[in-house]
Amino acid sequence: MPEWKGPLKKVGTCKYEIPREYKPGMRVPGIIYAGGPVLDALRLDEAPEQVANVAFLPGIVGASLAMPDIHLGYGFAIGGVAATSAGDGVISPGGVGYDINCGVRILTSRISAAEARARIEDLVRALFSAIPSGVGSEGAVKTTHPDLVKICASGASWAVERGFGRQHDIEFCEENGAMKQADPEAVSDKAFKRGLGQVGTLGSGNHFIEISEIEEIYDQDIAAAYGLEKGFCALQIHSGSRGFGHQVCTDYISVMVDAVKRYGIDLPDRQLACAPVKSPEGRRYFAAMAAAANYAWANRQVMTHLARQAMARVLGRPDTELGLDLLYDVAHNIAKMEKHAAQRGAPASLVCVHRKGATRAFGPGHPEIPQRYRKHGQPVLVPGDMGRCSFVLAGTERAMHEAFGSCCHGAGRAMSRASAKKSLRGQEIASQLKARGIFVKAQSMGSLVEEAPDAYKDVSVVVDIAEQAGLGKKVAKLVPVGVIKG
Amino acid sequence: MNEVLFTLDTTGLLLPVECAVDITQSASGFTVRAGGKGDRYSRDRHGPLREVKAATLHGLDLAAVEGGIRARIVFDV
Repeated sequence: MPEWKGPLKKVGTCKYEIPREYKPGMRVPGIIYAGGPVLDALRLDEAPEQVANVAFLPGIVGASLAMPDIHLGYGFAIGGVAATSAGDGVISPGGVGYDINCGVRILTSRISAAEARARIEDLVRALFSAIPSGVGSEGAVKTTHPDLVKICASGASWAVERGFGRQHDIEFCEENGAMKQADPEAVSDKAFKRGLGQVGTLGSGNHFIEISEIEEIYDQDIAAAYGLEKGFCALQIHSGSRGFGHQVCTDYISVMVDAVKRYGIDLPDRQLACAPVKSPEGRRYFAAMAAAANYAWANRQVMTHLARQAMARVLGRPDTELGLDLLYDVAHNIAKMEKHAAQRGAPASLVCVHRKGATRAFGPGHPEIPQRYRKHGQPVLVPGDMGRCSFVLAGTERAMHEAFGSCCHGAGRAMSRASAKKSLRGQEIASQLKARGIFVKAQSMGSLVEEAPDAYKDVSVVVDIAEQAGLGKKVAKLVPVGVIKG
Repeated sequence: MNEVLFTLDTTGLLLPVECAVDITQSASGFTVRAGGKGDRYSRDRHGPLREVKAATLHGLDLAAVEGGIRARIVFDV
């Protein structure tokens, strides 16, 4: 692929601007948070061009942003954040992605790292057996169409009310596990059919479940508030809205491709297809997207319950004795209606914040943060690859002012799946990880290869850039002990 | 292609063989009819299968070539 040759002007610490003048049609500048190896690699694909293209969206406010895990996506770059005016701006399914509310949750525990390591193969096998993954897998929870209608409306609460979890799990979930704007009427019959057998399934690709050791604490006060303690284990669950959400996105991209013609919206990339937020198409997409987001929260909630039960069985103690308390659950492919100021000092207004491979990162004091964490900022969960580490950050005031309360979401791919398959071997990867004390179980060698550590950027670099840019504050580092891949 | 993905997800039906595509042109544009035969997916018989989220519009390219049409489609996996 030819190098991207557009302009990048340094405008702050780890902050680079693509000026509005770069391309006629850009309504705002592009801003990319980058530095070190991320900056060096920035020109290797067209992701910066995608940042510039997003700046064409009618009603876009402030700037078209990209987090330091930026890489090439469909329309929007992965790592992209764009806020559009709820009054006269547009909403774009490409700014959310096909896996609506792909997200991650972390559970803290009273399981010591030593105990987990001693029993890791049993734990991983038990999780792999308890939680279906891969194509053709069916959920442990049988659902009917009426169940899915309720899931669309109540998300994680649907699961908890049926015994899949603890009541206080809901408080520690973004949106309390359900967006109120969801409307099952906006969801197609096809999406319902695809979602029917998949509640409580992991999926595949970069979805995973991981038993991690909390290896390092950077801020003792915030870690204590979050329940993170060095030397104990955490459980990460990374998954999304499955076929239900994929179909919602497919359906509405088709709607929006027609809508752009009707509304006379001129775009440099068809995958940015959109409609005014207030239009019938825009409202219906948002309502359907919210329904899919709620499906994903229900999905992660069911898997949480299955994971707790599996670990309790292996370790021979009740799951409540093991702790396994939900620290937080974040979405990283979503659109939200939030109040933000376009710049510091300006009045706040309602905007549609698209986060595609980016995480909400509300700063201290925000009323939507659970009371227990409010003075510290929202937990920001940033999973890395299965060979290195993951991080927990805290949201900052600066993220609110500069990035519509957003931060990075992960490591970002360094190598395409095709390249990974050519240069890496599944069995060697599994053996290398085992030699380093990481036990991995995957549905196939193929998925192991595509998700190998070398296929991803180093999340430590991504997180350091985010912290230097002021978008998040490091709280803890987690390292993998056991991993399940779909 | 998205219809194929929907069919796989909802019926377990794979369509890997004997696919036929018929393209006709009229005053209002092109119509594509496609069909195929396949097997019902079984992990034991077919091995692990990669999950595909969707056929995207990203870089979609159709070109007339000798004997038919060549399509380039990017899938979201």
